[in-house]
Amino acid sequence: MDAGLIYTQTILAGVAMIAAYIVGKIFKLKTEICLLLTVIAGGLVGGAGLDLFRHMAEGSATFLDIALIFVFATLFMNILKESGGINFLVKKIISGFHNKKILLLILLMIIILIPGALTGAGSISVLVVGGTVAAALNAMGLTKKRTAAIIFIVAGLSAACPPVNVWAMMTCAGTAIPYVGFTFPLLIPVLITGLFTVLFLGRGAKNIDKEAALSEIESPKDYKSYKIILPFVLLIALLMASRIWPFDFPVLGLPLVFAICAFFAWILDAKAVNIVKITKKTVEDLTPLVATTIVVGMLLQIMSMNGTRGLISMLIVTAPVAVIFIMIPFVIPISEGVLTYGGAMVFGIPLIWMFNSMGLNPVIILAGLSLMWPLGDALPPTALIGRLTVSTAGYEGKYSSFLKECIVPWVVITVVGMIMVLFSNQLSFLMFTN
Amino acid sequence: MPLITIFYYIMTGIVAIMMIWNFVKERDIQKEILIIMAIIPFLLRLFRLK
Amino acid sequence: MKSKIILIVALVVFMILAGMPLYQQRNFEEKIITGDSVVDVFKLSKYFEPLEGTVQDTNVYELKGEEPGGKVLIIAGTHENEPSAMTFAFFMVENMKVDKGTIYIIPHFNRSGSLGTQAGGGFPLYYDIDTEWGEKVFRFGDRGLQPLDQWPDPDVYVHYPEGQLLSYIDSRNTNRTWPGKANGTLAEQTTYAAMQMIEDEDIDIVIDLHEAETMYPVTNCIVVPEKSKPYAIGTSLFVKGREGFENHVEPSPTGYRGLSHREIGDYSDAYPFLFESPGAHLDQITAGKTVDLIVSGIDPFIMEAEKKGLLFVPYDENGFSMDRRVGQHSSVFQELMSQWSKKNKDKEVIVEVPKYADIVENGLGYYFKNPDEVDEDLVYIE
Repeated sequence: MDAGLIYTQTILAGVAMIAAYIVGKIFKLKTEICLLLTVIAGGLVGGAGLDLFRHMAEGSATFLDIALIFVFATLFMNILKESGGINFLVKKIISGFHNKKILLLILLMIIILIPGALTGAGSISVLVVGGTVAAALNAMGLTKKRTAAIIFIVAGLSAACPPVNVWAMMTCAGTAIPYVGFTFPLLIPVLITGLFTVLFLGRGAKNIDKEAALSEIESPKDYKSYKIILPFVLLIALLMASRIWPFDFPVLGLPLVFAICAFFAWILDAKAVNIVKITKKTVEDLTPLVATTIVVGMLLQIMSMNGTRGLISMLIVTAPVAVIFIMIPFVIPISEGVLTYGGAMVFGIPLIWMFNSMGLNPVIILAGLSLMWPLGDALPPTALIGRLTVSTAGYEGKYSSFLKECIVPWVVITVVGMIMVLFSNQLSFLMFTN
Repeated sequence: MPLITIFYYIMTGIVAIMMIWNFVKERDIQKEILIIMAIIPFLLRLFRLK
Repeated sequence: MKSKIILIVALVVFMILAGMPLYQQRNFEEKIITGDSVVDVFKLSKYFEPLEGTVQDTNVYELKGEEPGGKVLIIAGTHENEPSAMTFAFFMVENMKVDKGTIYIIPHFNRSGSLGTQAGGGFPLYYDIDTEWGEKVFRFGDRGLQPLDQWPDPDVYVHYPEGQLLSYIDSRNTNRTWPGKANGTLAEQTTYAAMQMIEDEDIDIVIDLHEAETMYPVTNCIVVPEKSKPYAIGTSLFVKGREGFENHVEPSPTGYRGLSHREIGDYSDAYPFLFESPGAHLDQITAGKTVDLIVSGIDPFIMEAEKKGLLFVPYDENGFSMDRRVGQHSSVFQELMSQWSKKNKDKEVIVEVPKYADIVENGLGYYFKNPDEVDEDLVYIE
């Protein structure tokens, strides 16, 4: 086909997709439905014909496992919440650290970092510990908006935190670079920016008035601590077992790990929890989130099929190097906001090849980029983890105000990430022990 | 089929059933559309199509 | 209630229209015609019984010369979205005459991968080659096993036995699971079966056929560990001199585990070689992923990258066609046999099959016979 015609067709498909999204918004349709219209427009104008349905189906399967993780991780936490375990935990934390606010902030940061670091998904941090941490931060006198900002930023950092960083892993898989040497280039900036975030956004936090705080939190009187401790012990054990005995322990996968823990948590408190009702409610609450991941998969598929994905990444990688560096702080989070993990595939792979061929250190650059990708999880149209966080933290104000609250740590993380991108060779020493 | 994979089909089935149940109870058309969208990959996997 | 009925009907119609092509592709039968040198066709499970009856129990074609000599295993379809590998395998099974030595060919090593495309990849389900009798149609597949055949993925893939952490996606990638594991995942069992074959048959050379992106430095090349290097260097120099195309040598990194060129070299006596030809459709920066792109390799966006010097292959408006890619594989393979035979007289391998210049001139389709017009005993289903 003639090159000019290919350009025209691709641009037309892109225009049709944007137009469909705008039309959807004019009719006040939900974001996921607007994205669905975008997919359909992109497919039809891109020439898919009847094959559109097959493309949509294939795309929908892209993030099925992630959707299953969302459902079963949330179910696990909802069972613990329903049984009163979460409130019990918050009470314990308040009792122990009510008069040590800095220590408490750092402890809460570590609590958020762990689930995401182990699973590579910031959403898991929000779902598993977000509620508990939010309660503790509220008790310290922080507003719900600021609480949501802390949880969102640190949960994002948890996803970037080693050992599992999905953006880096996906880019590594696509560029045939081994996922080796990332531990410290990821861990050190995550800890630095994480500490900055909790201390900056946690400014003005007060020592907790223990008695008042405890009296406000309801929990069953005879609640036994083992009911919440054992499911978490099981969760950590299952996550660790696959690392400690990787060749002997069966591959369970994260959805099943959470399902087992959920089942176990329910068994321990079967009387207090109606499992069918809570499963139904969990699926109901998560349907918008699941629909988002599904439609983003469709979008990735259609953008590949009609060439808009290629056009965008071509325009970026063929731009002058200085322009690429200037665009990175914007393109990386925006790509995450539009395509979630797909952003790593669309932009990460060509960018890393390009930088690699320029003689720059791909590990440090990729570590730097993967600090910035999670920021995009708060950006529309998907705003996947941002939305999850505000609902977990119980913040009901304007979403844009929540974003404003995130600005300072956002800028700091971007600056740190960009330093790693710009000075990758000078920072190669960060890979020291690997 | 390995036992763990069978568990995954069961889990997928449970989510799909819950979605159908929610669909039946749902009153808002936009939410109904979301459920229909969300259930697609679960059905594709259950029918072993993708 | 009305909206519910409409939506349910829409869902059912959608599932039928979307599901039918997926079902058809998963059950699509490619026909391969065995040539004069093929003496046996058997399953990979011959070397590892637990693979029997699984989707990965793939066909192995044994081509034997009049005289004994060296033994070569050619693996195609490790990555089923790199189609010149499979097309070349089909071409060889049908057209190659072996004069000396034994050649084993596996056209779909990762058979599961050939039964569906990459979710989110936007690829067509089939590609075809024009022949005098019509179109010869092939399934277009995925890089890894289908989740339908290996589910779930781990949160991170730990390579056996080296313990290196790799992306969870790579747990289904049969070029990350070498040397395999008997009680491992289906992908690990597949590479384990191949390792057993290499050992049981006393294979001298293993060739793993691939394609790589034009923007990827390791493309248009032969990837080898240290021990295979002398043969690869000779091959690279001679194909450039004789055939006029570049095909450089890349060292197999010692610190990157699970790859065929690394583990086969380390865990067996065989000499591994991985051939890469440039598959433009694999690049991220292409226009729409069409059959034409896969077969012609022509893409205007890649041309833009070429103008900026971002490519690692010579690329112009003629693209990198399937004919060229298969032709390169053919010439590089034959030159390698010649280099090997020069230095291993007791294990010579002598073959005859059209090379680069002939394939580019005649077109690949010229070499494929109509399966409906040959003796049906010669036709096998892939």
